[in-house]
Amino acid sequence: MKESKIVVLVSRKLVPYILLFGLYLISYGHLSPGGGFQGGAVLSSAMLLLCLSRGVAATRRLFRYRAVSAVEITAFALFLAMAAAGTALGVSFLGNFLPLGRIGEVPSSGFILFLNLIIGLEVGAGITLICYSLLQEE
Amino acid sequence: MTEALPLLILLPFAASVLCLLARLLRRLLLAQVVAVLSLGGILLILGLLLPVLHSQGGLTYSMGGWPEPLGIALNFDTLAWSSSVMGTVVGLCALLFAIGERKYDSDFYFFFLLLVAGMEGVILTGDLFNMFVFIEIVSISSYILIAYSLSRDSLWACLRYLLLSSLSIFLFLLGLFLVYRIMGTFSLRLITASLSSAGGTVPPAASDSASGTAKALGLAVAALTVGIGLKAAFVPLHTWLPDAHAAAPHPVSALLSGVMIKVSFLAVWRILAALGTTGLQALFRWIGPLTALLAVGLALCQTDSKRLLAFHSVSQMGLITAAFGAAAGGGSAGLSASLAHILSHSLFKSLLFLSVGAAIHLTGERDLQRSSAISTPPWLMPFFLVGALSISGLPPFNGFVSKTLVVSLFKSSPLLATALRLAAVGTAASMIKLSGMFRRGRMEPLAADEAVVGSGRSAPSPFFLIPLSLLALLCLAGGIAPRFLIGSLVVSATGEPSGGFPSAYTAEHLIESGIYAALAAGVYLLIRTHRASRVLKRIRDLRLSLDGSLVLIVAAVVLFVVLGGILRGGFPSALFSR
Amino acid sequence: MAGAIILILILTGIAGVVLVDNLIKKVMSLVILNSAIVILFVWSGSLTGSEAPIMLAGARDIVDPLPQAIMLTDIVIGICVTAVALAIVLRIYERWGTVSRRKLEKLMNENDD
Repeated sequence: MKESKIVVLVSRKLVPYILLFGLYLISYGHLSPGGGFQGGAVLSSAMLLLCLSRGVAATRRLFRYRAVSAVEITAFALFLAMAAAGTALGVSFLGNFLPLGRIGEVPSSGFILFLNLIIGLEVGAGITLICYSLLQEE
Repeated sequence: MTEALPLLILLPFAASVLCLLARLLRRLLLAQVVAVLSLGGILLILGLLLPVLHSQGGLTYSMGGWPEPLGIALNFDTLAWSSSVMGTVVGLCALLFAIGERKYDSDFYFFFLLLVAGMEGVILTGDLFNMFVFIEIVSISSYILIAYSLSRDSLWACLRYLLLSSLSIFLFLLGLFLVYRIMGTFSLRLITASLSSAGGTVPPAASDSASGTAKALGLAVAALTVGIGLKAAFVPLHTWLPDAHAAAPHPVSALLSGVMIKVSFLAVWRILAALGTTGLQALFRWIGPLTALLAVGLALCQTDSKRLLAFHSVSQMGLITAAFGAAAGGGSAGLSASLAHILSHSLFKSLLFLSVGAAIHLTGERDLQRSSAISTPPWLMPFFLVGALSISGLPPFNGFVSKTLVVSLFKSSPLLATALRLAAVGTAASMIKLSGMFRRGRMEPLAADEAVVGSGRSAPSPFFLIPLSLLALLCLAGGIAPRFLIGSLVVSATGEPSGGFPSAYTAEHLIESGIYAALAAGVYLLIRTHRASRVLKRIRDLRLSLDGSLVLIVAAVVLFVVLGGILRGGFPSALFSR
Repeated sequence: MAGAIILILILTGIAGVVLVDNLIKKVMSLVILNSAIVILFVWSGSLTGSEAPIMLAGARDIVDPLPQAIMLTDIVIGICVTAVALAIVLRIYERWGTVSRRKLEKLMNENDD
């Protein structure tokens, strides 16, 4: 792939904003359209933009495979832990055990915010790993 | 104790996370230990739940505390209990076998545990869409496990299965859409309740005429059945199975043939029980024997040992489907026979796949003609013998009990009974053909395993012995004490009055199985002749193209709708009375 | 209007999976079928109300939120299946050298004999 300087430069400037937008989608998922999976997909699209513009090898130097893999595994484990914590704390499996706030504020609706964050990281890391594997030039 | 129900699904998921961790840390032992412990934990919980089940009859658990129809419920009855035990026992045996083979890394155990977790989910869930999610978890894990060896055959088998399965899941979703439009909910319990309270015809949210809603419901059930029915592998939805189960690694073949196709059939069972259209169930009365006969015929032509066993899986699913179909119209004897054969088949089919797998592992040869010249260790032969006698329906094994039950349901229709009997003869004949793999040959095996050396003088690996012996013992126990082992499970699951489990050891049945054995020997000698082998090769080379298989699926939905409606009665008039 | 789009998508998808020769295009047809299902469910939910199901604006006349939540899961599953399918097709291309269904089946039959 012949590199174009414009594409590389613009994508470098855009990626932080895309990541920020993804994080916004994740954290406002319980208030407006968005949520864990949607925000995670946007996060991974930022990674995909980097892979497409600078190549997978360069992107992997920045976001190492093992680190992304560790994020995914931790997020998966945390999700199961939060689900099981519901059972341990008296409410049923996957039951809410955090206080419900006021409707309309970010820290509201119990633990859905945390589940969204966890799922967002999980999905972002997962799709990033898919992109790493499929886009590799051997 | 109801709190323990989600643990049945949570345990394998948690163990799979640890397998991923093991992959990151490069410690295979962690993955293996965690996998075995989690399956053992599931069995422990199931054992603890048994007295609770006896006293209460059934457990329900609402996930997240949300009651239906807002939330998803887990339904745990005796049917779920027996299937979970069957699945976990076979899974544990396959897992031990995989550890003994020593060629899988942590990824394999990750997908294996996902498969087990997904199957537990399909069995337990009481919500149709949740069932779809777990079915997809099972599917994706099975795609990857089938293609695990990355050989050319397994990749193509996996892709074929993937395309067929995705098309059928699409049809399943169409059926879900219709169910939601008509019923307004996805919950199986609520659907059953609203259909039965209205007398089985008009559901509450209907605005169409009664016949229109019934038509739509029939279409929905046909789509749902074809959707999951692909995984249960009855005709015409069986075309993916021989390639996939033959190309998969041995423990995966055992798990898929032994558990996954049954669990998918149990999902069809639950859906038909909840939505209550007996037309489709009656259709199974015809599809079952057709599947059994057709698959046995194709099995006899095969020269690859695992392909032969895979065709037998299709054929036995035909028996199970036939028994289920015979129960249409309210007879619970058919359901008992079907469930009995499900339990027996999972045991002896996984035993067969594991013993053939051990033979292939030790000798390096899977083709029947080539491997008959190589000798397998003598300790392997008894295990294969138990499996072969069970699948042929010979006493004193569990296959005899369940097969005679199934065939006895068809006393009223001699055509179907003959088809089933011919299938039984063909099964026994192909088992004789398969046993050629285990005979003493002239050459010693070329592939020497670290655990077993050459002439079999050193001890066989315990990871092979334990699962094989466990499965063989269970097959034997099911045959010797059928009332205790099979009868009690089946009766409480299908609601038949206790004591209603008929005895299989009557003189008539014993003589019949003797006749089958004799006929089978005759058939086997017949197919060994040169002219017959040319005919068999011609049949073997007939292959359905991928596009043909896909068209068959779409055609199957049309077929099920039309035939199911006709068998229920009144469908053509409703169709043309607009 | 929505019904027509859904029907066209379904027919395109099924025709694509069954009739097209290229394996990658078959996988893309599966994606088209998935999109058709998503539109179908969301459209059926939208028939019963008129506002988006967001709490801030109040909950007076909202569309049915259940199909929307379900379709989120369905999209995720569709992506996973597509990823696996494309990875398998990639491996097939590496091993066999072609992604044409006709050529692959011919090669497979030659392989067995």
